[in-house]
Formats: sequence, structure tokens, C-alpha cells
Amino acid sequence: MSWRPRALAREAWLNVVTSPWRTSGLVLAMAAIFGGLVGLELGDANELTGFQESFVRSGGYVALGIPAEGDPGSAARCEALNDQPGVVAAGAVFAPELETLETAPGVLFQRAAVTEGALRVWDPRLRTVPAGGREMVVGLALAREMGLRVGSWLIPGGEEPALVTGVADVERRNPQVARWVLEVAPPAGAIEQCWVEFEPGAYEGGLAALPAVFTIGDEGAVARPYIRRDEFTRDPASEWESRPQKDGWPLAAGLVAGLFGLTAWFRRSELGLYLAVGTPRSSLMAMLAVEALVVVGFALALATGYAFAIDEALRHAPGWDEAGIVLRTAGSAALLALAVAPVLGVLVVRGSIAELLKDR
Amino acid sequence: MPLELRTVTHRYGPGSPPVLRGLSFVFPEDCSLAVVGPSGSGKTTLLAIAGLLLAPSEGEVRIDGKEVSRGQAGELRTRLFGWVFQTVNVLSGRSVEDNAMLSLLARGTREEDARAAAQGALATVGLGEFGERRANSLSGGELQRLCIARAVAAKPRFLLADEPTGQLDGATTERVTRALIEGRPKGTTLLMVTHDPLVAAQCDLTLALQDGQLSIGGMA
Repeated sequence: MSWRPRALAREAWLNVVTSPWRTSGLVLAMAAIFGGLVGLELGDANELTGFQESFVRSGGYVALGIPAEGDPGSAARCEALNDQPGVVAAGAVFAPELETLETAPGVLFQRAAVTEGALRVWDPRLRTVPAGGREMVVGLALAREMGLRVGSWLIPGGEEPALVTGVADVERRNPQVARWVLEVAPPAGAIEQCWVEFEPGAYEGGLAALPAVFTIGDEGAVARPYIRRDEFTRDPASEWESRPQKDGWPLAAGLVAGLFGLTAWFRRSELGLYLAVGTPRSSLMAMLAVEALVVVGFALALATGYAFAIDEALRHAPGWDEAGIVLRTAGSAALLALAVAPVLGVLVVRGSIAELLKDR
Repeated sequence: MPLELRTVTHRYGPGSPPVLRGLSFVFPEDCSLAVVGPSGSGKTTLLAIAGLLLAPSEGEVRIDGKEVSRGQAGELRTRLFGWVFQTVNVLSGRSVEDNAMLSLLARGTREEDARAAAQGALATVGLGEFGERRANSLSGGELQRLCIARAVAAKPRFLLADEPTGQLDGATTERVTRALIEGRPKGTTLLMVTHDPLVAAQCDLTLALQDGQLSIGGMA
């Protein structure tokens, strides 16, 4: 013989909406707490994911395998790495050589035969891959210098003209030589280098295992990172794991629940009235839980909304991954606050009902 | 069998002097009772114990001949008792009707039935036209009548009032007293603590509390 659930939910809702000053004050204060948490998460997530993206773009997870000289199976083994888990792309570079163009005598360029995978490592955005034969890909620097584009014809060193089927930004990941003309060769024979891009989580293991792929008998092979790392190199993954707000969500939850408990303390004569008319403490807690759900829900929505809007205005629109991380942190804080707040509300009205009713 | 206190003694803390001393009394049913006595004589304590808001240090409260255990007190308090306090306790931001429904809703009454009963109780205490108004727009006397309406709407068997006119002027006191005595449902026993002899005189019986004992008759 106690409150019907619907009546209790209605009572809670009316308590929230008929006290606009109390409710809006509480929502704003809670939103400030959630907003701080969400803002910190968004800031860190943006900064670290931005760094991670630029690190990946610049070849942070690319390794070079140098096979033993004259190893005839090295090209095939290099290209076969594309089938390995954790490998984004792998491709071989045969011995490059310097040449000059018929159409521009005196302009030296670096010419190399590569397997298809090497083009994907050097320029992941390259869509058109030459079929081989008299089709070639030119580097961006050479293309700009010579005015070449897809569909242009190129006559390297007295040969038959070749069609430019792609302009690749190979200098981004291979900046040593500015002018490149590349032709796709089948993965057969001895190679000079094997370029491998790993997924971030597979990089360390892949780099360590790479020399074994090209070691034949006593002939040693080596592997090295494309970008060498030292103690000053940032590690986004460990930075993310050690962010302070990672452990700050229980604190935020405690502050939010504490605010709710504080308002319950100011409402103790009102809550005492519910007890005096026969409301069991369990029903009172359920009513406070509904009130907390409404207030915390509004606060979380408000905080997330303005934190995202500010972040978008100051930096860039957060991606789904960032939004997911942020909402998980803030959501955990909200859920914990929702669990604790009604308990605090009931704790502040323990003791004599008569005393509570005197307190106005 | 009515409400009965049997050898009730109550102390506020160990070592403190007893407020009530072995008090035994059977409250008659379906009548209005005024409890009078000097300040500090334990009138409010008596009411709190009789209304199951406070467990006595010693002795027992019996209803219908059965001792009320601590486990039963909450349920019986909800089902059998209605309260009117000296200080006006209302949900100030809510409508008058919402406030008057509160006791009924707490007993699990359907909302429509609770609203109808609340409207009837408000009409009984002269607030029938005030249902939609917010409680914080009422005067002190109107608020106290709202509290009476809230208490009587649930048709309690025992209506307990702790100095309900203590903060009201003469004319308002008269209206509130009439609402309590005449507005209570048939069969409801009214037990009212008061300092006002004029209020006490309107009740069927006056009980005097002195030195922790209750006796019939006496002056405020």
C-alpha cells in the first residue's frame, strides 16, 4: 500500500518542473561539472587523435626491410606481407637509378621499379595504379615542376613514350629524392628495400619480426623504422591512457551527487512531509531517483551540447570515435551520480520526521 | 477497540528526566479530544507516540487491542493516521489540489480517485475554489486549512493535530478549528494539542497533561 509507480513518477516530474529556479540552478551547476569533464576529454581526444593522424600520415608506423644482397625471393616475400594481419600495405623497391627526360634534357630524376604495394605505402591516397608496361606514376614534385598530370606522356631516356597514370605524393613518406618516376613491376627477383606499413598496434612486433622474413641462411637482413623514435617522441596511446580525467569521472559523479544531496538537505522539510503522509523511504528514494534522472539528464545533454559546440568552433568537429570516448566518460559519471544521488537524498532525511517538519 | 497507550514512559536520551511517566490511556473513538497542558509538559511527545511517529522508551501503543510493533508502525501510520502540524508543511510550488492529494497517493490510491477525494476535502474546509492555485499564494489560515484537507481527504481513523492554530489570529483560528472539528470524516477521532482554551472548549473532551500523566478535564 504505497505510491503507484506512475503517480510517483508524475510527482517527481512535477517537483522538478514546479521549482524552476531550483531545477535550473541545479542543472547549470551539474552541467558545469559535466562540461568540464567533457571539455577536457574532447580537448585531449582532439589533440591526441590529431597528432596520431599526422604521425600515421608521416609514416610513423612504416618500417623498411633491407634484404640480403641478391636474394632472388625477396620481392615475392615482401609483397606476400600484404596478406599478414596487422600489415596495412607492403611493397618492394627495386634498385633505383638516376635518369634524364627526353622532353627536358638535364632534368635528372629518380627512376625506380616498385611493386604495387610500395605505391600504396608511399601514397595511401593514390587511386590509379599503373598496369605496368608503358604506364608510369610520377612524384608530385616532378609533376609540378614539369607540368605533368594523369594522361600526360613521358619519354624517359630515349625509350618509348610512357603514359602518366598517376601522380603520387611520394615525397611525403620518401622525401630524400624529390623527382620520382615509378613503374610497377611484378614481385619477382631481388629488391633493394621492402617498405611495410603496419597498423599502430602491430608496429613494434612487426618491426621486430621483419628481419627474419628476409634472412636466408647466414645472410643477415636488417629492418629499421622509417621514423626513428627517441625519448622525445610522443606516444599518443600512453598519453591517452595516462590522461588525468580518465580517473576523474568518479570525482565528477561525486560532485554531481553531492549537489543533489545538498538540495535535498535544503528540501528536508518537503521530503519529511512525504514521509509524514506515509511515503516509505524506498518510495521516496525512487521518487528522488526519477528527479535525479531528469536533472542529470538535462545537465548531461546541456554540457555535452555546448562542449561539442565550443570544441567544434575552436578546433574541428569531433569524430565518432572521439564522441564515443567522451560520452562513455561522461555517461559513466552520470550513471554513478544517478546511483548515489537518491541515496544521499534519503540519508539527509533520516531521523525523526517531526524534526524534519519543523525545519523550514 | 480504540487507540490505547499502556504504561508509556518516554525519555529523550538516557539519564534525562522522563517526559511521560507510565502513562496509560484509552482514547475514545469518533469524538474530538483536546490535549492541554503547560509548555514542556510533553503534549507533542504524547501526540507523536500516539500517532506512531515516535516509539516510546517504555510501554506500548495498542490499536484494536493489539500491540503495535516497530515493523508495523509505518504501515499503520499511513493507513490509519492523518496529521496536521503547527508549522504549515506544504509543497509550496505545487497546486493546492496536488497538496491535498498527497496522503491518498501515498496510500496507493488511483490518481483520479485521489483527485476527486481531494476536491471534496478542499470543499469541506472552504477551499473548493482554490484547487488550481499554487500553495504559496495562500494565506497562513488557508494553508493550515489545506493541511487539514490533506489529512482528512484520506479519511483517517485518527486525525492528530499539533497546535494547528498556534500561529493564527482569532478569526482564522475559529475557521481552522471548525474545519478540523466539523470537517473531519464521520468516525474519525480527532486528537488535538492546543494552548488555546477557546479551541479546547469546542472539542468533545479535554485531556490535561501534567507531570507526565493524562487526566480528563482541565484548563489550557
